[in-house]
Amino acid sequence: MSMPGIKSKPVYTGLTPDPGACQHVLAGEGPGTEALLRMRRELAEGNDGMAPAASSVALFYTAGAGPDRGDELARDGHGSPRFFPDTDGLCQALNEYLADAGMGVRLYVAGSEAFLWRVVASARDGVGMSEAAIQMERCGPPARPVCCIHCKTTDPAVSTTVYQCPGCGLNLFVRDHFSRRLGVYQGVCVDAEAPGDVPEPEELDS
Amino acid sequence: MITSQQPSIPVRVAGIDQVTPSVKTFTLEHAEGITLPCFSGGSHVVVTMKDAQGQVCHRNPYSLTSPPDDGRCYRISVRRDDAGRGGSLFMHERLGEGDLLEISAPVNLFPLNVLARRHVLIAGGIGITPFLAQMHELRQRGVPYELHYQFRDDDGAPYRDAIAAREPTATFYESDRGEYLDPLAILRDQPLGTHVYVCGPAGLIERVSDAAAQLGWPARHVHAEAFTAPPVGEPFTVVCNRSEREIEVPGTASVLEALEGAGLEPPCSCRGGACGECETRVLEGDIEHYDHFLSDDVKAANSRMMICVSRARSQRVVLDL
Repeated sequence: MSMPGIKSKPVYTGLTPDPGACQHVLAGEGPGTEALLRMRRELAEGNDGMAPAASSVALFYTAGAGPDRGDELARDGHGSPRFFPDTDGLCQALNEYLADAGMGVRLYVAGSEAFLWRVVASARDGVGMSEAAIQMERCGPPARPVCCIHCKTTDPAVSTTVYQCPGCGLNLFVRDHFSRRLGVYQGVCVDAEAPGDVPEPEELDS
Repeated sequence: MITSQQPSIPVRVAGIDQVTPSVKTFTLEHAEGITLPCFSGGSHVVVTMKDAQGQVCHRNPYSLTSPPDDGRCYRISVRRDDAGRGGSLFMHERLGEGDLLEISAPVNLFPLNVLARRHVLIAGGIGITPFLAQMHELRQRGVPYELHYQFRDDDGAPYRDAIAAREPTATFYESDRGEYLDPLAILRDQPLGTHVYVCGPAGLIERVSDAAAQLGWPARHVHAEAFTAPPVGEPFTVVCNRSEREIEVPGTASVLEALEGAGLEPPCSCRGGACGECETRVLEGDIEHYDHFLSDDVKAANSRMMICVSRARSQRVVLDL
């Protein structure tokens, strides 16, 4: 049921310290802990001709989609992370921090797909940060944020196509079409032509 | 041969103003009195010039400087270049009010980023032209911007007074008086969401790009108007493999112009090595690349060339045309 060749479907690569940057900011939730630990180590050690950057590395963390591994980040010894009870709180503090940063800052985001795009949208709409200065690493299970095109309800973690919309109850097919502005895939009624003719749900694997 | 050349717009020269001793501004209206297409700030048109016999003698791109939403007329500014290939001299000496010209539809290879929160515009001399239209657009949209304008002396500073009167954010730098803009100082404290645009001599573009990189700016936030006038060089022969033609390229014409002179119409748009439209496969020959489009790898491989500006190093070059 996947649709090859849909260009809007994001392709995620691993986070890599940008040697051109002057300032580095990490933001992550539980599933992204490995990536955050790795990035902090790489930034502290320096790589590819890049000087160690530990002094200017800030880290914003929330357990989010879990499991919570904040204690590992606190023990890790590379600077002191800032912990938040939820993604909203993280985004607000992150924007306050970014508002004082300049064009040389890079943001590295690690977590579920819904988390990545909430942080990106918040930094874009809040302080005008563009995706040119942001890297993302998708971590944890391959659940997608999907918006029902009929009632506009977004389910942040859809793991199958077809699924039932929590807003209007329609059976939705998950398309690979992705909106970077909204940070969601499209969910479209699968049995509009033949009501009740609903295919078996399949696990989303990417 | 397939062509992607745009249909041209017939215009009449409605006014000519001597802006500085070396710069003239031409006001162009549609020859049939109808409205011209609106455009976006940073757009250019290619002006086709014809000699007394009606033969095309020059095709030069010029930035539109008039308000982008005003379809009554277009304005272009031309700096006289006595050492150039003759297009600017034609515009300065041969063109009079009421004369007819053909221009291409506007094309924008130097657009403003619509998501930017702030724009820093850096001009060198006649490089001010695309910013004149862009500042109209930015004022209208209410987006913050600042202009930095470097020039040698008053003669090299078209529109200085008009800009000074209208643009409170403009800063002027006159190098004859020892004033030079400092890209690091301009770019250092810009907030997130800023884009910088530079148009002027290659040295200025390089200094701004280097400063932005040094300050950690993402490359996608740095924009340069990368037009190159086709350089003058040694004559050589172009062999068109598919149409089985051999065409001589004189030292003062580009490959594109020589092909057009021979009646061919290869795809092209900017005529300045920036847009990529005229990319052509090279089957044989060494190329001296002058464009800003192909990657260094492709240039080194000699497998492709931009026929609007690049030339052959060898006496003969075979193209897949």
